[in-house]
Formats: sequence, C-alpha cells, structure tokens
Amino acid sequence: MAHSRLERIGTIYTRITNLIRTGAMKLDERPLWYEVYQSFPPATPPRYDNPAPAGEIRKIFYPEDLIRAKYYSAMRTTPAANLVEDGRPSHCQVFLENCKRSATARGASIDDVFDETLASTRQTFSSPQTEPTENSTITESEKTRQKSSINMKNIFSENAEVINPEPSQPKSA
Amino acid sequence: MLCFFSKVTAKCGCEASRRVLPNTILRSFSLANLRENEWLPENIAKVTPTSILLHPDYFEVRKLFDVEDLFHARVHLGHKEGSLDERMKPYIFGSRLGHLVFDLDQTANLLGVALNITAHIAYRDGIILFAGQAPQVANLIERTALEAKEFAHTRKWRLGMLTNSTMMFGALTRLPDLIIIMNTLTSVLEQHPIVNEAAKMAIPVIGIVDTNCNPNLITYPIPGNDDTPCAVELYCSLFKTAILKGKQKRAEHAKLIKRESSDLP
Repeated sequence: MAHSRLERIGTIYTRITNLIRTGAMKLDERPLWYEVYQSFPPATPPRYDNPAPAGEIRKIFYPEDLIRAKYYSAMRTTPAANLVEDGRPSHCQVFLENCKRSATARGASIDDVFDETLASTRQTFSSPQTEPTENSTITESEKTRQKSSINMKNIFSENAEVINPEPSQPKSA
Repeated sequence: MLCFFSKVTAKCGCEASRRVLPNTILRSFSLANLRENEWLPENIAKVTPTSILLHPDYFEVRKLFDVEDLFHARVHLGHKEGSLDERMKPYIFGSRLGHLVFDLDQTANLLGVALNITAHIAYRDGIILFAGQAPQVANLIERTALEAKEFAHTRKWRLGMLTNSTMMFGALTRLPDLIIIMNTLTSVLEQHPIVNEAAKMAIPVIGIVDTNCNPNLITYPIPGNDDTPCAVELYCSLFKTAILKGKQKRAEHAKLIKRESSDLP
C-alpha cells in the first residue's frame, strides 16, 4: 500500500485523503476505519504539533478550607484512617460536620464554636470504645479466632477428612 | 509474541474464513447517497455498515456508563502539578492543593466517542490491538483481549513491529485496524513507541492519557487516570463490551443477509 510515513505532517485522515485524491491509493483500498473517522471525527485533529493552550489551571478551594487548615494545625496527630473502606468520612469531615451542627444549633459562627468542638472531638478520638470501627474489628477478629480454633486441634487426627469440605475424588480412567 | 501475527493474510488464506460479509457489501454504499433514518433495521438491504454510521450511537455504548461510574473508579485523579504535560490543560478541571483533577464531563464525552469507534471497527471485522506497558495491569489487559477475542501486546515493544512487520515476522502481516492503549507511557515515563509507529502506518489510536502524557498523536484521547487498577478495570470492561456489541450486531446482520440471499431464486 502506498503510504506516507511522515507522522509529523497533517493527521492520519488528511494523509490518506490526499493519497486517494491524487490517485496514489485506490478508493477500494482505503483503510477500514476511513468512513468511521469521517462520520465521527475526533474533537481535536490528532496533529503532531498541536500547541499547548495558554492560561492557568484554576485552584480548587472551598469556603470551609480555612476551618480545615485550622483543624490540622491544632490537631497535630489524627487517628489512623481505614483505607479499605470506601466512602467513609475522614476525621476532618466528621469534625466539620460537628462544627456546622453546633453552629446552627446555637446560631453562632463556626469560628465561635471551633475550640469547644475541637475539645469534644479530641475526646471522642482518644476514647476507642466509642469508635464504631474499633468494635467491628474486634468482633471480626474474634470470629476468625473462633473459627480457626476448631480446625487447628484435630487437623492431624484421623477424622481430618471430615473437616475437609471437598473430599478427594477417586481417580478413574 | 505478537498475537495479531496469527491473522496473516495473503499467504495462509485465513482472511477468507474470517470474512462473513464480503468486502463489496461493506463498501457498496457511500455516505452521499444515504438519507436520514436509513440505519433502521426494518429493511436489511439498508442495514449496511455505512448506513449505520449515520446513527450517533448505534451500538448504545454511551449508555454503558455515566459520570458517577467514572468518579467511583477514580478516573478523575491525575498526577501532581509538577509532572503536567501542558497539552493536557484543556481536559483538566483544576488543581486541588497541587493534585490535578480531570473534568469528568469531557472525559465521559470522549470515552463515549472512543467506545463508539471501537464498536464500529469491531462491526467491520477490524483487528483491535490492546496495548500498554504498565506491569500491574498487563494481565488484566491480556485477559480483556482474550475475552473480547482480540489481541494484546503488553511486553517490551520491539521497534518496527508495525513499520517493518513484513521483515520482522518473515511474512506479509495484517496490521491492526485500531489500537487501544491503556497506558501511553513506558515504565521510564517516555511515550510508548507504538504511538509513533501507529501514526506512521495510519492506524487510529485510542489512548487513556493521564496528566503527564502527550495527547497530540493519539487519535481519540481519553483524559483520565491510567495508574489505578480499578480505573483500568473500568476501561477494560467498557471496551470489551463495546467490541462484543459490535461483533454481535455483525453476526446478526450476516445471518439476515444470508437468509435474504438464500430466499432468492
């Protein structure tokens, strides 16, 4: 197939189109994607020398970021976060929610209730009994311990096959 | 070894077994002769690949996902500002404390276009090659290609496998008609050489481009996170579904055409 291998000139579409136009490529020999590209052209032509657009990338900030910054400077160490769970609010988010709740309840600004909420939140974090995850982890590990203690004792005993859920099948033919 | 090598045409003649629709039917219609709504499947004579192209989303691939799915798969997370390729700027929503975040509305739109293209190429019996060099997703990419009955290359790219294929494999080789790259960078953060080679050989490329990638030579770039396994899993499952949808339609239409031709005296 006649071909231009200069990938820095034009796009794949313009190169093939011009080959067809000048007769270097027969219309029947056009690539399989040709009509598909024609019907659904890319938003930006895939040229080698497409310039980078000017302009700055905007910074993403939220109004409550000031409170967050204050929280992290006051709380030098935060409790460990569970990375396995998805969608669980972070400690900072929990604190922010507490702040908002007490601010609306009293009709005061968040700055006014900040110190008080911080003290109560710190207390909550320091007492692990109130943490729901701590409890669930303990029960989980207890369960596994109970489960595992059943098998370990008689793992070498004669009736070990009974525990085995899948009995070995006899080999035949 | 290159898998698409097994589709060597000319010499072994396996192209004939792969073609269900003859090429003349595929290309007998030109865009100029068609009117609106001729893609409607009531009349099989009108259900030709070209008339299908008039429908904006014939294979319904845009319904496979929404922006929320992309968000949950963490597609919006980019790299830090320091590694930004300036040409990726239009696809970026903003920077959150130095970490770049993609504009998922644009990503969803571009991903929809790319899936549509994939389904169309699969419908036209094109060869689709999945590529990528990230070792953590190599197995995933290969499995996806296997399930879609297409091809994958996730190992070191030997230069010239597209541009010098005849010499490389010792026989006339049918090159892929579409390349889907899951990670356009190599392990040393240089552009995957397949991008250049595909552009030279006029093969369209669909590629996931992260904030540190160059989108220029990628025909259909999809801005998004290319490092997180759950994001790559989402892309893989979407592309697999699009390919299977295209192939299914092809089989249906081939059956209709076969029946039509056997009814003739």
